[in-house]
Amino acid sequence: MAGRKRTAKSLGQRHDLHYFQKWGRWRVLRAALMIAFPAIAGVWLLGYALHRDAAPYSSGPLSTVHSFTGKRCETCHAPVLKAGFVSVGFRKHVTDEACLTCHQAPEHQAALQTFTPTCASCHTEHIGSQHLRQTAAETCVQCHGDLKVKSGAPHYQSAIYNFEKKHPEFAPLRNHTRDAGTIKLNHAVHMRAGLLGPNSQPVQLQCQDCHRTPAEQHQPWKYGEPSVIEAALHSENPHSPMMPPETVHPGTGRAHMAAPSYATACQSCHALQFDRYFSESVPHDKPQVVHDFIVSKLTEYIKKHPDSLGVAPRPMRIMFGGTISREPQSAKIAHSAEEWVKLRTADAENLLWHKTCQQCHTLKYPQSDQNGLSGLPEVAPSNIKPVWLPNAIFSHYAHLSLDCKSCHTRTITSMETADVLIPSVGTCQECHNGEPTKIGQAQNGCFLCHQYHGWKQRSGPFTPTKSIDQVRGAYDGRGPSPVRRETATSIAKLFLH
Amino acid sequence: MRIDQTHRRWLWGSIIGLAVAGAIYIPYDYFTIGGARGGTIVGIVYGIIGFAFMIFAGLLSLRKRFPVWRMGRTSTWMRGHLWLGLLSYPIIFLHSGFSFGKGTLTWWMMVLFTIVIVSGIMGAILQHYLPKVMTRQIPYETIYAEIPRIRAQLLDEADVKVAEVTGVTMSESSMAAAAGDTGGVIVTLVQMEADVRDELTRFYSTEMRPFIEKQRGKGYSLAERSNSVAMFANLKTLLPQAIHPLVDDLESICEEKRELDKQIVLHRILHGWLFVHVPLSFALLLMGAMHAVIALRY
Repeated sequence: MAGRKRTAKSLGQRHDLHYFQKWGRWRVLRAALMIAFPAIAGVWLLGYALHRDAAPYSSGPLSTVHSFTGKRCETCHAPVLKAGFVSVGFRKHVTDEACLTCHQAPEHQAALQTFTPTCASCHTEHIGSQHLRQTAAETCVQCHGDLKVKSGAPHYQSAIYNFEKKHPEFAPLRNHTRDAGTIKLNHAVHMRAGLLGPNSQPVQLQCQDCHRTPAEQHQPWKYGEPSVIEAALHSENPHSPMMPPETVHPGTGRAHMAAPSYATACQSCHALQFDRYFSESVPHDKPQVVHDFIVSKLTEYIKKHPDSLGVAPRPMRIMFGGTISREPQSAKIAHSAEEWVKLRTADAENLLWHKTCQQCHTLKYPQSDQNGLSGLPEVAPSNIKPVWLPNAIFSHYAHLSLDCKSCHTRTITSMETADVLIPSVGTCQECHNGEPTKIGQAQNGCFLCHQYHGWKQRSGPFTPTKSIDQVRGAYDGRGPSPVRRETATSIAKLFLH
Repeated sequence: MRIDQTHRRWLWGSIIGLAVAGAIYIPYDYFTIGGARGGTIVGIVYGIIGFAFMIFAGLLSLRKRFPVWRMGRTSTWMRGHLWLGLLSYPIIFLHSGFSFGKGTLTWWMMVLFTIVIVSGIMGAILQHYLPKVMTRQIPYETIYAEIPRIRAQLLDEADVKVAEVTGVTMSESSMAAAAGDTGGVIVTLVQMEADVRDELTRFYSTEMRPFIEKQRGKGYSLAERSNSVAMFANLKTLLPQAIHPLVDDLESICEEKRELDKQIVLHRILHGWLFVHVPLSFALLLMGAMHAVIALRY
């Protein structure tokens, strides 16, 4: 009974020298997995390929506006080169032509721009639900950071990096532009507390008592006469343009403020009374209409009251603080109804043209004739500018929650119509100072306010070329009728295309 | 493979490579409209470099299949596999602009890539530490694939030894092997009481033989060394002095079996990660190739 002896030789001799040629369980399993895993991946991709579905290869989800193209990558990824009906070349990058099949995109500053970027370089796809209009600021800065033009000097500031960095002041403020409006309005007075309003009652005017968007014109006005407003809203008076129809979209017609009108904002306080015998005002209209109205009223009156011929005229006008009277312009006593009407009309118009109307309007008087009589004055156009930055995108509706005065800060101290009261760029920058994902910051991309494409240069209506079936992928446009793709066809095309 | 001084050049090369790639990435990301992403020229370059590293790492398998090829030492390939494979991960992140893949394919690729890299790092750590542990704990370490064969040999050896003293044959194969060793004659050398012989036979047939026979002895009393020592000491008290050398041999056989069991466990830990790492690497390379072709096309 010998003990166990284990030498290196005896231990070595225990092994089968051809052990490495055998396939053990683990070796078989590992080999099987090495085949199985790539095979699974291959079958997965092949399965998509057989269905002509390139979804797995997508570099990211499509934007919501393009999601309708679904699995039809070729809607945008058309072959770069084509020879007749045959696709040539390997690359299928998205070309501008593919975009322009469905979209209009007027060129940006065509005469000045040194190069035109491709659509896809600014409108980045496959990054999810972000709106494609939201281009990165860098796309603009690539030119506007160091602006060069084909010839001459740039009209715009040549080094703008983003909204916070070197963005110039808005043009009307930068150039100290004076408002060319002719309506004399003192904002400081009108915003003062305790201002006398209708019936000599103190009031505190709010911005929206005078300034509203077109969509809000039909809502009740605090200082307007409803019947007059209704008539004005349906007239073609330039002070009260036709309102767009109310739509479902909450922001429609609420982007910009409409020009304030006399009917909606002024008439309760600034009545146009022309004679003490009449409680009603003259219409807020052209001088000829006003003149005809006065003559009509006085003629009617004298017919009913012939004994008034001997009474000296005494025009007056009621102001909110009491009665302001003017001495009669003419001490003449009328001898006939016609003369009475003429004299009283002259006095009433003298009051209106030289006092009442002139308080707000700029009137131009014609030369007096040889008898010392003058014709009707000419009222200067109001020139109210509803939009001061016509090339920028802005919506008051988006800023609905903000108090008007917090942005239009100079309004409460402005005493002249010529003051331009739009907010400065600094006011906008207080909020629009970065990424909206950070607390206290609002987005400040160029796209928020600016348009790249020259939409005003659109040459004509867009001519669509695709049917619903084509964009949805039910019809490839090559045959006479919608084609249902068969698997065999798909495989063949997969290898041939 | 131990990560020792011989890896220093690879380590520094990888750090410098990563630093250069990172230094290029910062201005590239800053000045690129829309930020860094795979489709830009620089992004494509990152992608090509990263994929080249992945392919090189994958070629290690091929290199091992043909050890006689004169294409550099396998150890050098292994170091390259380890460091370039590791470096490919951040390079691919630079390629993607630190996105984990927005598309289905790219997302799955990044998932597989992460699993491959994590399993590879785990494997490198295990390969660094475990061989030393095995050398210390398993003096009679053998070739893993030969463990069943060795175990069978141990069983035969134990059968013969027990038969020598008890005259009880446990299997024909062991007796045949023993007969071959002794020139065709099995001799019982020790005379003993019947009950003592029965006790030895019972111990061997119920405790020891099943333990040796099973691939993994887990659950058997003899699987624990402390139990084994106690059981064999107890057995010696029941058996005559003359048989104690036999008992020592049987205990030695059990000890060797325990080492084989431990080797199986450690081997599976040491190489088990390859079942994840290697197949997924091949799948990743296939998907990477498809991604490269399609991405360059579209």
